[in-house]
Amino acid sequence: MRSKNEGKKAFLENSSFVPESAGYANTKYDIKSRKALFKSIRRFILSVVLVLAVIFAGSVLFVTIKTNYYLARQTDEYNTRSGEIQTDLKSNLEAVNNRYISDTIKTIFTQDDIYAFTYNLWSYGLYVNDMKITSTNTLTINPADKIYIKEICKPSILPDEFVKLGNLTRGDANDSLINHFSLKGKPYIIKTNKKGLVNTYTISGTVFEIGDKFNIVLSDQLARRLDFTRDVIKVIVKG
Amino acid sequence: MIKKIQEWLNHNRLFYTFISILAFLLVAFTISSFAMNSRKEATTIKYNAALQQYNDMNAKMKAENIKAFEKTLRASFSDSQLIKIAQHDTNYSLSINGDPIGKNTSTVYAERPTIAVLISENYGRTELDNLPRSIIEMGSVIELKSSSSLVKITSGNATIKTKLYNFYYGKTLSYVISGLKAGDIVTLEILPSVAKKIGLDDNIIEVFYNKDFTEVS
Repeated sequence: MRSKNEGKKAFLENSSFVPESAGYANTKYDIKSRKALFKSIRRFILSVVLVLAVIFAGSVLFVTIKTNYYLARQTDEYNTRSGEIQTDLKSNLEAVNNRYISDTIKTIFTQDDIYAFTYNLWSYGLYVNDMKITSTNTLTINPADKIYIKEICKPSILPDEFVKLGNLTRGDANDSLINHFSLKGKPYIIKTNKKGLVNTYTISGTVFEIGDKFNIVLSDQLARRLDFTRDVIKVIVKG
Repeated sequence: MIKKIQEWLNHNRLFYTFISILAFLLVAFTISSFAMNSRKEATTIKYNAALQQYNDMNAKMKAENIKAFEKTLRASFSDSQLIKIAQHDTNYSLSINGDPIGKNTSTVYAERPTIAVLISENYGRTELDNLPRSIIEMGSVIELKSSSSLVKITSGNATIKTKLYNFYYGKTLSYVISGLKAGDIVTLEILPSVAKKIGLDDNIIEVFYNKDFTEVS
């Protein structure tokens, strides 16, 4: 029976793997060089394993540091946001609630829905000296009479931007009630007076004389709001 | 190249220096990883606490927002308007023995002596996400107490059992009509307003029970 070393020696001697580059192609029995080769292989494997282990350990460390950093940053962010909410709850609740209400209303309702809901918050009236005109027949006035249109908004806790959608101009900032009526046959100006929830649009800059005849022309929308069947009202000035 | 590597590997001083550096790095990285990991655990605890606090604060704020929104809605709209708002996005459906009833259905054939009628109300996503629960409930038409008026059932001697299932996202009212004899006809008269919501053309549906029923095309 061969010993362990003898077997190893025999294997090395019979092996066909002889490094030619070492210049020993013809020396079949150069055990020393083969031993050196195996030593190199062992060292090479050890080096590779260690390099891989270092890369792996480095990656783990990198990921751990990054996660730690991310968690710390997120924690700070949550703390900041919690602080902001706390402040809002204490001192800014009304504004936050209004913003929430506005956003939610916009989410739930279309502009037309809001218009339908807020339409009745607004009422309109054509007045001659504090007397509301309810029919569109010929209107007889005195020279000193004052003609005006009153726009009244009912108090509501809905945010302003939605309340305004229910008015004659549907909240259009570029439109105004003064664009919805005119005097035909008379030069005039409109004086606007806004007091709380009541806006008054008075016809002025003209003198009514006995015998004057002119028309008040209303837009379709205003005529509907005033509950008038016609959009032209004949006016006669009498003594 | 291989020879050079081999020479380098066999050069004890260089090799051991290289191995020592690698070993040092390995140990340093491993120890640092352990240290960072234990630090991460502490950071995670802080993170979870901060997240919990943030969620609590958000819930508190949401509750305040909803309270204010409900107040605004109740002050701005009449009850009938609120009901309309609540029903804005609600879907209704009717099924008999598991089959959904379509728009034009007025006759249904049953092969078993038990008929299950389900009338369901499903709140829309927009409602569930935005409206206060009390407002959503205002728009609900399905109630156990109104079961007999919602669907009036004429079924002779058969027994009728009703049950209400109240889910977060809606309600379902179930009518189980049992003890039918072959040839019996069950008439379901659905409240017209509900039939309209379901989208039925006819609010009366007749269910024929015939155990030997075969469909004739």
